[in-house]
Amino acid sequence: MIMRERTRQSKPFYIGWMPKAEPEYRSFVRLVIFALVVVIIFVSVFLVTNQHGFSSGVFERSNFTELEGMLIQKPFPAIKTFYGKDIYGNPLVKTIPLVNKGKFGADSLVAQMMAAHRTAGDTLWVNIKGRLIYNRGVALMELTAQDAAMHMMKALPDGQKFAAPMVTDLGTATLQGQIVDPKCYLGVMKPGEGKPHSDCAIRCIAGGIPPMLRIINKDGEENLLILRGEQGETINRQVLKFVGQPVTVSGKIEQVDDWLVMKINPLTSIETE
Amino acid sequence: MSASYQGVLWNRQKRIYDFVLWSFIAVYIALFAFLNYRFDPRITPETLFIRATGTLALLMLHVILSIGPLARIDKRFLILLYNRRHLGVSMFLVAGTHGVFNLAQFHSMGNVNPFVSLFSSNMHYTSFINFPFQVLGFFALLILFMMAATSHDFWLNTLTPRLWKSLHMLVYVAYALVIMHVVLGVLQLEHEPTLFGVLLFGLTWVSGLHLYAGWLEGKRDREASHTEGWVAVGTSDDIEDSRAKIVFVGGERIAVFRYNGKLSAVSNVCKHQNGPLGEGKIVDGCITCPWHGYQYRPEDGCAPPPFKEKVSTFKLKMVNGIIYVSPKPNAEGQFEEPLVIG
Repeated sequence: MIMRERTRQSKPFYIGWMPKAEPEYRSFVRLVIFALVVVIIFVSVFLVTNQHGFSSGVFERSNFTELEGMLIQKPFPAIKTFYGKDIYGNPLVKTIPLVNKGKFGADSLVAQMMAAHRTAGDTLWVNIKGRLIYNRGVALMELTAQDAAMHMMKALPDGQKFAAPMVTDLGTATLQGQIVDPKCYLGVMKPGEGKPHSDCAIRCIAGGIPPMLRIINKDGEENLLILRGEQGETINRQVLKFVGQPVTVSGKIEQVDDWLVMKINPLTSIETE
Repeated sequence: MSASYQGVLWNRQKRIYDFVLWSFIAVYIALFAFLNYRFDPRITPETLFIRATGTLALLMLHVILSIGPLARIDKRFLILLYNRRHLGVSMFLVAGTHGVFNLAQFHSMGNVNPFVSLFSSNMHYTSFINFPFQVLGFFALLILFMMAATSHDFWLNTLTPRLWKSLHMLVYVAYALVIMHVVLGVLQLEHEPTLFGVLLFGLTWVSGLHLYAGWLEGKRDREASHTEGWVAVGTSDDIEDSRAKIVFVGGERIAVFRYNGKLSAVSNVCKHQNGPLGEGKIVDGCITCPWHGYQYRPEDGCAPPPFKEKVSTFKLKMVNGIIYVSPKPNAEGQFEEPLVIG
């Protein structure tokens, strides 16, 4: 723009469009860069080492697993797998709840499968393929391929008898905990709980993923209870406003095979702390 | 400094600035990822990226907000101020990445549009502690977007410096929103008091710097404050050659420059971004703003052609070796005969 003119000055002056800054500025900016390097090292070490820590949950993103078992709709969509018998001859059951791709439950998928293949009174023995989500012995399966994930192998005549869950009434209780969505909580997201995750949990539960009450006792042991209405109906919409917050929930607890189900009145049984 | 719309006017120092800036960004993200996988490899890649970009954007925002007052306290920080807009746009890109990842992670693939989900998932708008913190982040990002989108001098000229400056002062609103976004969001889960402590330190640092710089400026203004009539500036020996002395008259700062055995007075406020011309220097015969190098001729306050910016000039007189300045400004760009030092 204008020819540069050398001026004799005691104080240096910085002009950004000049090719070079004066030496005093150059040495100063090196000092600032060094200070900022120290700051970013400190900040990153400090933040990482002061985090809450992450759960050991696993979401097998790139690994598809095939399971064979009985498809059930109640108390939640799941596949019941059998892996032997106990000393009394009762079948050992591992119930793996099913969820859909994204933030959706598998109710409609399972209902479609049932409607398409079941004759009255029969139960479906199926082979399903999906991605497992698991933590501390509790597992879910995402039906990533949606309706293509399930293949009926056979209808079991009079299968309701065979599929009837072992239900044990554990009485009523009032529990303190947090309502979470099991898909994220068990491993898809970390953290899958608390305020930072609450919007996602609300979206998942609004999409049909069963709400789950996570409680931790004074010894730090965790229990997970699927929440249902007093008649076993879904109450997803009614619990949305409580998701991700500390809550106190009162209701009737049942052990259904290897899962705990808490039956509540969503209008009166949940209180925020 | 451009007379018409042009893309970024790259020069060597801007390239160095941007290279150092993006090296910092890359190093921080790499370091954050390395440390996370070293200390707790159970973290998911999405959470890692969300936290890395969120914390980096917050750190960059603190640096951006510190540069202004630091440059008022120590002129050597002007080297960071020169290309601050690139730092601001880069910070927006980092914060925007954080926002997009959050929207994808927490609100996409659901039963409603992600933006509807953002505003309607958590409906505790009347609660403080349960307030939907992601909405605060969204509005902060919206402000940062407006600032980044209008950062070019084309928008400065189109919107007028006054409106442009007002718009860009919204960075303080964005900062407040971001602080609340963090306090009502991740800090509700990460309870470590030290994390609160670091955030509080950042807030105190930024506020303290602004208060201190404001106090220093106020002190200088009080020392050079006059209210009416011709105002004594001092003797010519009080002004270093090619530099200025600033006087505060009737609520306005006037810069009195000494150069080539002459004296001229102009408004202290640069037309570009309100930079303090009186802290500049005469370079190539022109007053040169210390912030971005905008130039004005001292005798008429006009930028040299082809540039069109103009500032007000002021009359000077000398009585018994004392320089006096008239507090009444001439029209912007009006020639005023320089006062020859006897």
